[in-house]
Amino acid sequence: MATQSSHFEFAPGFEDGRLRIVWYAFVAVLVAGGAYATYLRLTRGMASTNLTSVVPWGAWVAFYIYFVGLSAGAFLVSTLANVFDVGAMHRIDRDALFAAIVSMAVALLFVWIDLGRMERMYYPFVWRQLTSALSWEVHAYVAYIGILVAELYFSMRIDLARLATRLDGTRATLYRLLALGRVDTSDASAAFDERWLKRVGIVGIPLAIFMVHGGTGVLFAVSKARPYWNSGLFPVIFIVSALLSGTALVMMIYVLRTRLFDGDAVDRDLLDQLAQLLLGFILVDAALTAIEALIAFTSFHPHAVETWLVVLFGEMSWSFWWFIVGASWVFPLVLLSKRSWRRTPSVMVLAGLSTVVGVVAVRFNIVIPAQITPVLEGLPHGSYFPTPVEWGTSIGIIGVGFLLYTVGAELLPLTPLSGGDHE
Amino acid sequence: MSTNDTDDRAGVSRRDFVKAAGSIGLVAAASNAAVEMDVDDLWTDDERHYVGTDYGEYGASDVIHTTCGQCNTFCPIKVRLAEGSGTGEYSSLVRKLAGNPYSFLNTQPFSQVPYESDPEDVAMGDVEGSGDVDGDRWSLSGGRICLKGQAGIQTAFDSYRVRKPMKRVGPRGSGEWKTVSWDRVIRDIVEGDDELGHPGLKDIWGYASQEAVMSDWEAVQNGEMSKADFDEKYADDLVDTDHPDLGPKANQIVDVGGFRRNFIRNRLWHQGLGSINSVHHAGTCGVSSVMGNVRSHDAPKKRQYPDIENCEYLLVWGTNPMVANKGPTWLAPKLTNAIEDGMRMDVVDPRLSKTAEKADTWVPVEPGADGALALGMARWIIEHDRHDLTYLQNPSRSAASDDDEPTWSDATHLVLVDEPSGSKARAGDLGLVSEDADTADDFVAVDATTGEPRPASEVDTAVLDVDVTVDGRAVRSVWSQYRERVFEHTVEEYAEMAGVSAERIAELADEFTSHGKRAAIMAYRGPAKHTNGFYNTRAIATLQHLIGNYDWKGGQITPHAGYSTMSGRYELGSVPDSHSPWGIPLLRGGVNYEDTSLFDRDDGYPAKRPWFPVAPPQATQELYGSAAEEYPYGVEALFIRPYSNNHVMAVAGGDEIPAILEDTDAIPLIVASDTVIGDTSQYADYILPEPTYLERWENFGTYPNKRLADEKISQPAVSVVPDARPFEDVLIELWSELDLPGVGEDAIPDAEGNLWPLERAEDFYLKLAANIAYDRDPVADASEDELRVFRESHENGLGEQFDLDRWRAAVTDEEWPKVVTVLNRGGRFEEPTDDYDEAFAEHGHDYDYAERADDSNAYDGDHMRYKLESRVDFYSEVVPKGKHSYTGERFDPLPRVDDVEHYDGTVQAAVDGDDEPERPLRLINWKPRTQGMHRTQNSPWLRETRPENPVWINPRDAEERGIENGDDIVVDAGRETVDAVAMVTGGIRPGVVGAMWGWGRTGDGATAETIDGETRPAVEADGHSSYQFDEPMAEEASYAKGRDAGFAINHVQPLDEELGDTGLSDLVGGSNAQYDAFVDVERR
Amino acid sequence: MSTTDDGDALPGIPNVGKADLDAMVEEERPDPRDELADVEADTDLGIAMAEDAQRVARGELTGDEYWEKYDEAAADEFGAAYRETPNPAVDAGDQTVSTETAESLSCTVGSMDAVSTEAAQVEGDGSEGGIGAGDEKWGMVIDLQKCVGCDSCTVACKSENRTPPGVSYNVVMEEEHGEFPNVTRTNVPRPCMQCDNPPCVQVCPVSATYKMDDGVVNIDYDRCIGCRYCNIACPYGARYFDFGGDYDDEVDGAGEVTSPEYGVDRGPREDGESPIGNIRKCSFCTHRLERGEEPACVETCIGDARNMGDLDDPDSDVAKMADSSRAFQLKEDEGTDPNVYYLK
Repeated sequence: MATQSSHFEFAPGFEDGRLRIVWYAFVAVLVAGGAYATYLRLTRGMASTNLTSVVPWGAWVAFYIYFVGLSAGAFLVSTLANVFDVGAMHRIDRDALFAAIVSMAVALLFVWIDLGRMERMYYPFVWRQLTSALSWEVHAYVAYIGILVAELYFSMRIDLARLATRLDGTRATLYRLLALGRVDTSDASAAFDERWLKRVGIVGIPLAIFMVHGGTGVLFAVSKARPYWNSGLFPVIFIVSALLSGTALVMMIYVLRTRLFDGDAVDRDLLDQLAQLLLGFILVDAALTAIEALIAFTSFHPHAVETWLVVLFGEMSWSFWWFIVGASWVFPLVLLSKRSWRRTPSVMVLAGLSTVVGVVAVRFNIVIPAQITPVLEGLPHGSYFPTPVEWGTSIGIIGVGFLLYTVGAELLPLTPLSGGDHE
Repeated sequence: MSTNDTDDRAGVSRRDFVKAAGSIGLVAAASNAAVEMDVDDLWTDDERHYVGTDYGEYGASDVIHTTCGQCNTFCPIKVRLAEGSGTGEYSSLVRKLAGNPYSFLNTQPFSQVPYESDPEDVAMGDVEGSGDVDGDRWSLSGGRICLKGQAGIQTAFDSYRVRKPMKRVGPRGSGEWKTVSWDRVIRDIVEGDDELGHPGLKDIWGYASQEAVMSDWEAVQNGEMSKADFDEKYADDLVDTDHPDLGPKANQIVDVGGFRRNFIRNRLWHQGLGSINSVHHAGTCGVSSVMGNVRSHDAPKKRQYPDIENCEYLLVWGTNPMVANKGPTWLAPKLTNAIEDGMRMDVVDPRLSKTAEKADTWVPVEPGADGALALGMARWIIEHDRHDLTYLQNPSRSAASDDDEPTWSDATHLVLVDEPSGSKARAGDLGLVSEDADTADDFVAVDATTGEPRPASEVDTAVLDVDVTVDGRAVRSVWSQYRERVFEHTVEEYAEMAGVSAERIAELADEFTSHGKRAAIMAYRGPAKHTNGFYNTRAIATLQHLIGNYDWKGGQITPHAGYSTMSGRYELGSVPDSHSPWGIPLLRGGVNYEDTSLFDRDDGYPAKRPWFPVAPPQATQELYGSAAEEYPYGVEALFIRPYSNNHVMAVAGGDEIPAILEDTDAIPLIVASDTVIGDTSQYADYILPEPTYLERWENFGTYPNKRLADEKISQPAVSVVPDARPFEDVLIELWSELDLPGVGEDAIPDAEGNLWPLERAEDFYLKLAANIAYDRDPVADASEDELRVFRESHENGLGEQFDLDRWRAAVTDEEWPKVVTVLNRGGRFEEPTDDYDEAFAEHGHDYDYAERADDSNAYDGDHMRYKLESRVDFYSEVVPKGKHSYTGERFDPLPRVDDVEHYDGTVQAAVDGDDEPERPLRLINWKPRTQGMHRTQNSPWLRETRPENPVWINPRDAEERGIENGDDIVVDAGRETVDAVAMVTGGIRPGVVGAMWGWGRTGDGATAETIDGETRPAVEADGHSSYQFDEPMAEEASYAKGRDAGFAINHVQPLDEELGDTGLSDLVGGSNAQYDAFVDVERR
Repeated sequence: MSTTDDGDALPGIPNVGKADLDAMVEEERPDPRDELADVEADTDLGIAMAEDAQRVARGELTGDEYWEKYDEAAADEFGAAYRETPNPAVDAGDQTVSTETAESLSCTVGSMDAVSTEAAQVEGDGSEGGIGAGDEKWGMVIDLQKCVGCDSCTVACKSENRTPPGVSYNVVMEEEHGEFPNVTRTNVPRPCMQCDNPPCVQVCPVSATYKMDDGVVNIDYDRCIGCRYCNIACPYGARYFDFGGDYDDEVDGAGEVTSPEYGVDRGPREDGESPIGNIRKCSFCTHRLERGEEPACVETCIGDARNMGDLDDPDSDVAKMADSSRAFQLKEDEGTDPNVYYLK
């Protein structure tokens, strides 16, 4: 336990005030731009997009599944700490959980803005369809967010309690509220938290894997109309690339927050661990994608073959070669190949960033190409690139995510107040 | 569970029963029918939601039957009205258009509802026998109409319509207009206008009768009258006192419009003005085909159509009845059913048209080489003795009727071969009978039994091949000459010219002659729209002479079957104190150049511009060049109704027209009556708002491709532009101002000789409806209910514009209920049999009455009820009377193979010659499946189904040029290059490219318009994104492009080398050639 | 109701009444002739008819021949009884007597089912009827040999349903095969297939789109959230999103008329109001069917290729067509089981 002190210092935010201003200004620009784009989206309706009846799903859906993936990936990294007790991971446990929560919030914003009738967003909770993957998904998302919040709570409560008792004034009240009034900081209470953290995590894993992420994959895979999606491997690839992006994100956040918020030194062993994890996921992802392509080409299903040809050589092949192969596989693999680089925070931030951006293209390449090839010979080929409104709203929503994360990171004890949960 | 012994009820032991029944299993073979009760349905909701009971029911008071005007087929239609919120100027909205169920044209292959049926029952299909939606595959409420017809709503409600009379601001074609009042426009046109500096009709018009002028002219020639006196006397009346044969000054007032001929041409132009120049669209449409047929038959026969229902072999030749021709609404369902029932159809067309898609054999002929193909078939037929000798050896009606043949041919008739004009010998000419004998005017044939030449009516069987001298005169039979013509080339040579293998020619000829009389040809514009189109059509027509299939069930039909329109109750064609039009027509039809006073003036041949001595004066393509060159005289005032006469778009080389129209010296006054600011009317001085076809009267004909009689009447169904006036009304006012006959008080005589006024269009058309109503057996009187329905539907449709009392006053009280009967049904439609209403109630709509009744109105035994019953001609006496106005050579009395030539004889496209074209690809074109000429481009519904006109190109030609489907290309036509899109398809002959005509507009919202200082931009493409999904052949659910989409085919057509201001013409048939451009294409 | 002499009979339930049976039973093997012995009618005729009726049953004699043989004689012999007693053997078109014979006998024929279905219709079957009630199972049959690819159906549908730009409930696809000059094209019209196992319904998260008992797949514009999942899932590309476009720039009153799809009249098209932002598709024109008119596309079909009717009525034209050897469905292997059939 930390030493009791009446003058307790708790400043989890930016170390550097100027950097804070620059960052908030940056986020404000994103959000303001997004707000204007959203205004256009609301007044002009879906006509503000480049979506059509031929390509009905576009950037928003791609970002939606991207952030769901990010969330699931981050969550799974956190479970390494909570459920499997990978010791060193505890430092990043709350970070990962909080990132997972923010990602889900962002994902749901993308779902919302994508609805033709946004005012009806609560209808899925009023009417259901048992056979609809999407119907199941929205319920799963709610449950999943509940689990994430619960985990974060159990993981962080003791520090919230400490803050509530040690700080005073409004901040104390705030942390007391966040701790739901449980301000007991005894070992027993910590053990209670610990126990529940593990339990919730155990419930969370299948939910995250099978319902949330596999489910999002199923969302596509059930579409018999689109053989490119309609494959057994599809949900698996979904999860692997989710892990890929989640790990990369957590690695990035870990380095950046440690450096910029905590002003601490980065734990290079932990970094190496994360980097190796990332390396493994990249290899599995690339392998599965290759297998998937091979299956498609050997199946000779004309629709699947044609879609793969679109992916590899079509109008949007640049995104496959540059972003998926380049940014999410080759470039990070190169950076991850040397042990010394793996232990260099700046290099790993670059590798993480590259992967995180590259996986966005993976999502686009999941959503778009299957819609390019017509479902019936004789119907028009699709074509799609997002409009400025779509880009703008997307950036704005991501900005909201940044904002949520930053505010949270500035307020919450995302880094354990002491070395770990076990003091 | 075991049986409970004690459980006995009503004295029956269950155990006993079960036991007793046990043995049944051994004997009874149970049926397999079982109960399926628990198929759980995952996807039906427990409760029905979003289900209402608003079915949009309607009744007869919401329906008006009239005629579609979206293309020149003119289908009878049912207009279903809808109430609007009253925001626009319109009197009513239109909910839906459908075919008129009273008309057999729109219910094929089913039967129409009986004519007497109550409109209230007809409205939603409640007539007994009309079938029902669940049991019958097609039940009858609305009839069929094509996609263009469906889109008619968007023609009436086109927001680019002209709403007020408009006068140009700035020079012609400036695109700027100001609105003016009707009174002002009428005054300006009559009096002239200083602002625009044009003369008025008062100044222009002059008339003197032909007898007066010609007797004075005779006097001048005889020296009985001085030329100066003559000049002075007729200075204000004649076009040119030096050339009185040009006729009265009235001839310089020219009407272009064509439809409403009975009213505007006959009554107002010919008899009112005394001008011969009222022009319609024939020259750009099908006139060479029409004339080729007219010259092949003695009685009127303009068109070739089969009796589809009974035809066994149909050869469709250069026409597209599935989606074009006139019209697809009944030809397509008749054809698809006939094909499904085993009829064989082959299609001759350079491209795989929608009709060719359904063909047994597609014959991709070389464009313009149809004559060679037809003569090749003729040669095979004659060589293989497959022609009908019995038929051909009948020289006259009596001989034919002995063989139960309604028609006969001129094959055995003798021709005076030493006569330069090549006329046929008459019995009197050869001294076979005395000059005053009844048979003196008979043709002459050589009797096969006696070997003697005799008057044809006295010969039973005549000799085909004759080449002798009779009475000192050399005569040869028609057959002898026809056969010689056919044998000028071998089948292989013909095959080479036509680009069709000799085997294929043999196959076609064999099949054509293997079905007795049940084989027929349907041909139209494809072979005809070349400069050799007349001869091509002649060659095709004579193939049917060889089998004599006319008037036979399953053969070639000629049912000009209608009801009387112009006489009966009212003599609508007669005008008290009328003028008689005379003089040389502006378009020089029906006159030989050398018979005019211009021949000497211009030093004989070649004439400055083409003459059309054996065609009607309807070669519209010549109008503007003639006006510019004042040949034979200038045009002082031009009145244009561009409906089907949108010449800037419709004439090959029409892009030369604007410059002529913009020249106020060439034509001082141009008035257009138009629904919109059109491609042609935009060059006028005035545009007067016309009602569209859904808002006005008209009496359109039906092409002779049906079995029964019909007569259609169009009536106003809605009013969208309250200030629009039908051109008839405008002209009535102008004529009244000018005090011309034919309008105003005492204009129309009835059968008793009483005179009736003509103040408004309806005064004429309601009388026309009365004539229709009283023809043959007069129709029944409308009941009280029907009269009410009539009033209510017209009140619903026309609102304020409907003046019942005024309409009633146009006919007598006795006639009115019959007129209402006709109007409530959109015309008169003959029923297939007598007592049809009872039969219909019994057998229903899915029953072939015409076929199954012994005595139907469609058939007369094995013959058609409506017949040609006349001679058919291999050899035309009329044609060689005409001479080519460039060379002075006589035209050919027989079918022939001809090259496509310019006026001066320069070869544009060789058929039997070997001239090489200047560019490699021949550009053909055709009617847009999704558009009715240009007039329907205002419909986004239609532009969605096909957003532009891609250029069809064979993969062989495309690969050479590195072109793929959907590529942007440039079409280089020499004098013009245009941008287009490629459609790579095996469905077009290599070396030929083609596209839909009807695109690339500049009028009606295709470009910006400025009215009263307000500029309205051109129509934009639909769609919220840049993705249009318009790749050719996969444009399903694409977006409409702007109204200027595609390219204008006629603006890449070659100009005539000699004339330079218009396209090429067929001097015999009168057509504008439209399929003879040579282009190259490359990727953009 | 039971006969009156049934005393204590309960209505509607078969009752063993009091009437004594007058059953005569002979011991010997019966001779058919004796059966008719005490009947005043011509015994030989009756027996001949009965024996020939057997031959008909064994297929040795056609029903037509039978009736031609006996109609006159039986009418003479049995008189009014023969003409007036209902007898399916005389009346049923599709069993013993062909239409031609029936006509020659001057009696009309109609199939039993047709009549009973009609009767059922008049009565109503206890449900409230109307769209979706399942009184019929609507099905469409499109004859590809007859379809000329004219798109009249497409435009008729646009006019009937007033769909906005880019929304076309029906399209006609063209497929070209072969090389010049042996080229063929097939025109394949594509409305909504109203699948029996509809993937679109399967995926809709709010069951806004669902299958009605008449086989038609409905879209509840008041429930649909516009997620377009169904758009993705439909194997036939039959669904279109309403982006809110209109024709107002070039057509007066374009938004004034809308279609009462599924019997719901929404009034004029308004910016931002459903069905804008919803998914849309062909409704089989149930509102027209309900008022007794063919769907707009069927009514106008220029090739006489489109047919509509009740697939549940085995006697309906479309049921027979859908049953023919030429019939197939698009993408049969998807298991969607469309209610639109095509004829090869």
